[in-house]
Amino acid sequence: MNEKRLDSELRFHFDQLVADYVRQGMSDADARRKARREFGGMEGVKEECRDARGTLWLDSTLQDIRFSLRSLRKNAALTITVVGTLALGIGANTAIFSVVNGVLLRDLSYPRADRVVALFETTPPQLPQASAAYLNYLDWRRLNGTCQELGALRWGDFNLTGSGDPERLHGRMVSASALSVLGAAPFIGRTFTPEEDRAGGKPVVLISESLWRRRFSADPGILGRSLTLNGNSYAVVGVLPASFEFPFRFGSSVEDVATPLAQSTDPPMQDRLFHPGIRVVGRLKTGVSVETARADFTRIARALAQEYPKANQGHGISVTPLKDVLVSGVSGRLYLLLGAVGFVLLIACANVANLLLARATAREPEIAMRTALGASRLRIIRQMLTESLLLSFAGGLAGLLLASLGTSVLLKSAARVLPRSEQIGMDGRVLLFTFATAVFTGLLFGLAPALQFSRSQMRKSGRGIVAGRHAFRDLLVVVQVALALPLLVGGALMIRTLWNLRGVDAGFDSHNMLVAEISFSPAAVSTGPSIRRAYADLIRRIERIPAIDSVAATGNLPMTGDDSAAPIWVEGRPAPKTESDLPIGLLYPATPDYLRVTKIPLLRGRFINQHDSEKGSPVMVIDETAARNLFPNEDPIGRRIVVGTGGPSQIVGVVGHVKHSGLDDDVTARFHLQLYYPVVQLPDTFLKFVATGVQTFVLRTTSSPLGLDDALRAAVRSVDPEDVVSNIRPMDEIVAGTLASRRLLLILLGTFAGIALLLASVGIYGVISYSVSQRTREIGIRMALGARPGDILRSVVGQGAILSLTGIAAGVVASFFLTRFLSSALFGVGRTDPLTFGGVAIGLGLIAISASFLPALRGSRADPLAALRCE
Amino acid sequence: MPPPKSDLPQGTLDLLILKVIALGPIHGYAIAQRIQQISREALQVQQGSLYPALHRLENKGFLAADWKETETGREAKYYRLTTKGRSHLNAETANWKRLATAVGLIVNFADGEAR
Repeated sequence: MNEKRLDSELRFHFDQLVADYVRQGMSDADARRKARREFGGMEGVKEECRDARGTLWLDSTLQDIRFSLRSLRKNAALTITVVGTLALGIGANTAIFSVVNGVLLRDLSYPRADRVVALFETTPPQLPQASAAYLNYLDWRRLNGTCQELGALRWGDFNLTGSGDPERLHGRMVSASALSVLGAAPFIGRTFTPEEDRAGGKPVVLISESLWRRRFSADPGILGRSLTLNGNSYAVVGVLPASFEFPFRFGSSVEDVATPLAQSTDPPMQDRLFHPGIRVVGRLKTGVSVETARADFTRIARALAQEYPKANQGHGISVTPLKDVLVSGVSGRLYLLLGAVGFVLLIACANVANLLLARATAREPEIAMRTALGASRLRIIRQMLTESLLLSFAGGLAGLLLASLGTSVLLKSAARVLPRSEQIGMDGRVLLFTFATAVFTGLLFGLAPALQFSRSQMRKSGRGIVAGRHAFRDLLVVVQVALALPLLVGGALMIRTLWNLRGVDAGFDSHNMLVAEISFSPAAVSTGPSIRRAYADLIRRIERIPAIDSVAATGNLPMTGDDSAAPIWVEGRPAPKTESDLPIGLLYPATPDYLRVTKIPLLRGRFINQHDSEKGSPVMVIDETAARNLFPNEDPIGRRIVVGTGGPSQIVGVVGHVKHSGLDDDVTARFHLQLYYPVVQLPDTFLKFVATGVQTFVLRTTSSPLGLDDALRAAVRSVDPEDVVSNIRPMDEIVAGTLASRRLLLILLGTFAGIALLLASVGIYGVISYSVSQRTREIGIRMALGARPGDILRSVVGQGAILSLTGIAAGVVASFFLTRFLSSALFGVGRTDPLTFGGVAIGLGLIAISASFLPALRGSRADPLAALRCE
Repeated sequence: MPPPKSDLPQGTLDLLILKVIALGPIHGYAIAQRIQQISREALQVQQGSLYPALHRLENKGFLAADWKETETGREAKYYRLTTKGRSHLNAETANWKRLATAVGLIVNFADGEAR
C-alpha cells in the first residue's frame, strides 16, 4: 500500500518534469531522457524515503524474509541439504531432550511432588537401599518429627475370581497414610480409613479406572460391590483415576487393586529380621529440608539399633527425594546421550557453516552489487542472518517431525528400560528447547558467512594465482573430525561390551527353556499339605505335555529382579554379634527337577530330590562360590548352615554358580552366595506365605519353547480351574532383556556416531572440493610447469590428511576424558581400550582420506589449458 | 547559463519546505518549482533530497498529506502544515533569523577586517 503510494507520488513528479520539458519545446523522448538523468535513481530515492520514514522494523524484516526465501529457492539443492542436515541434528536433540524432559525434568504427578521423599533401610556394605522391616517402618512413623506423614507400600498380586475368567491382578498393599502422602484422589468413593488400615479391619479395596472399565463396564454404582481376591471378598470403596500411579513401578505392570497394608497376615510383617519389600514414602513438613530429615532419621536409626540390636545393629535410614530414587539408574546415561547428541548438532552446524561459506563466496559479486547500490554492511549481514535463521527454523520444524517419529520408535524399545517412559512426549518445554536450539544453530552457522563477508573486501585486493588458505574452514573440518571421534569410540566400546556379554556363560542354559507364572487357587493354598500337593500335581500334569522334557518350580528366578535373600551362618562357627556381620545368601526354594531344567551343572554330591520331603531332614545345596567362600579348604558336604531365622539344614551338594542379576553380574557384587533348598521343606506358615505369591515354573522343552502357551494353560486348568497362568515367556527373552538398556545405549550412540561420521565425511569432501576449485589456476600452472597428476593428487590428499589427522589427534584426547561417562555401561573392555581407540582412529582417518581423494582425483585430471583459462 | 547553485546548510531544506507549504496545500513537484522560483533559480532542490525530507517531516507529524486531483485530473499527494508543523516552522524561522543575523555580523566584520 505504502509502496504503491510512494511510487505514484514519485511517478507524478517525474511526469510533471517531462511535461514541463515538452512544454519548453523538447521532443517527448528527449524530455524523458533529460528528466530521467535529473531524477537520478528512482529506487534510490524510494529507499531513502523509506529510511526517512523510519520504516517499520517488521516491514524490512518481512522484506528480508521474502528476499531470503527467493534466494533459498534459487539454490534448492543447497537449501535441501542444509535443512536436511539441520533436521537430523535438531531432531536427534529434540528426541533425546524430550526423553530427558519426561524422565528427569518433569515433576512426578503427585501434588507438591518435590516434598515427597523415599526412605530405605541401609545395611552397608551389602545393601545401600533395602526395603524396610514393617515394624521398623511403624517406629519411623511414630518417632520422626520431620515428616508430615509417612506411608508404606508393598507389592501384592491377587487372583481375581468370581465373575468371568479368573485373572491375575497386579496390586499393592498400601497404608492409608501412603495414599495421603501421594495425594491419591479417587474419582468415585474414598481412600482407606485408619480403621480399615489395621489388622483385622474390614476387607476393602481400591480399584483402578482401567479395571473399573474392564471388569465392571464403568458401573457408576460400583461402591458397595465386592471383588473376590485370593478367595476372600473385598468391598470396593473407591476408584483411582488412570492418571494416578504408584511409585516404584516395574516396567509396564499397572496396578489394578490396592488393599490396606496393615491387614496383611504374612508372618514376615511381624518380624524385624525380615524386609518384605516395604517401600516407605514420606511428605516433608513445610520448611523442612531433606538434610534436616536425614539427621532426624539418623537419630531414629541409632535409637532403633540400640533397642533391637539383633535386627538393627549397623542399619541406617536413607532419605532421598522420590524422583531421584526413581530415575537414579538412568539419569547419568540420559545426560550422556544428551551430550553425545549435542556433538552431532555441532558437527551439523560446522557442515552447514561450510556450505554457506562456499555459497557466500559464490555470492560475492551479488553482494558487491548490492553494496554498490547502497546497501549498508549491517543490512547485508542482517540479510544473511535472516537466511540462516530461516534455514534453521525450517530445519527445526523438520527436526520436530523427525523427533516425534524417532521418539515413538525409541519408546517402543525403551519402555522396559526407562522409568517414567509414559511421561515422554512433546510439551512446551520441548518446543522451547527446539526453538532455542534452532536459533542457536542459526546464529552459530550464520555467523560464518557474515564474518566471511566482512573480510571479503580485504581478500579481493590480494587475489592472486594461489588461492589463500581458508583457515576458518579448515578449522571447521578439524572440529568436525574431533567431535565425531568420541562418538565413534563410544559406539565401538558399546559394540565390544555387547559382544563380550554375549560370550558370557550365565551358568545355566536359557535355550529351549520356558518360564511361566502360576498362582494357586485359594483352595490350593489353604493348608500346608494342599500346597505341597498343588506343586506336585502341577508338575506332573505339565510334564505330560509332549514337547516338555522337565518341569520345576522356583521361588527365585535369575535375571528377573527376584532377589530373595537372607543372612546365613555356618553351624559351629562363633555366633556373630549382629545380623549385619553375616554374609548374605541368595535363596532358591526349588523342586527336584530344577537342575535338570536349567542345566546348572552339579559339581559334587547331589541335588535335592523326591525324598527330601517335609518329613525328611532339611537339606541344602550350595553353589561353588558359597563353597569357596564359606568353606575354604574344607569339604562343605555334611556341614550344616542356618538361614535367616530357620533351623539348620545339611549341605548335600555343590552346583555351578549362576549369574543371578544379569550377564554382567560381578562375582564381588552384593549377593554372590547361592543356596537351594526344597520348597516343600518350608514350615507350613512360610509355605502358605510363599504359595499366596506368584509361583515361577520353569520348563525345559525338547524344541522351540514358542507356541506352548495354550497347551500349558489347558494343563494348568485341568489341575485346578481357579489356578491362573500368566507371563509365559522364553528364558532367552529374559536373558536378552538384561542387555536391553545397553543395547538401547548402543543403538543410540551408534546412530549418533553414524550421523557424525557421515556429516564429517561430507564436510571434508566439501572443503577439499572447494579448495580444489579455488586452486584450479594454481594446479594448471603447476602442471604446465611439469607437475604430474600424481603430484597434484598427493598435494590435495595431503591437505585433507593433515586436517583429519589434526582432528583425530584432538578427538583422541577428548575421548580419553569423555569415555569416563560411559564406563559404568562397559563390560570386559576398558574405557581407554587402546585397540578400540586405535581402530576407530585408523578407520576415521581412512574414511577422511577417501573423502578427500575424490576431489583430488578430479583436480589432478584437469586439463592444464582449461585450468589456466579459467576465470 | 543558470546561476551557480548553492548548497543548502544542514536543516535548511526542512525550513524551506515548511515555509512553502505554509502558503497552502501543495504537492512535491510544485514545492520544488516554488523554491526554485522564489530563490530566483539560486536553489534547486533535488528529488533525492526533497522526497526523503517530505517523508521525514510527515513522519514527525509536522506535515499531513491528502491525495487530491490536480487541475490536469491526476491524483497527487498534497502536503499541508499541521499545527505542530506551524509552531515548529515559527520556532525554526526565528532560529534561522537569529543565526543569519549572527553569521552576517561575523562575515561582515571579517570582511571589514580584511579590508
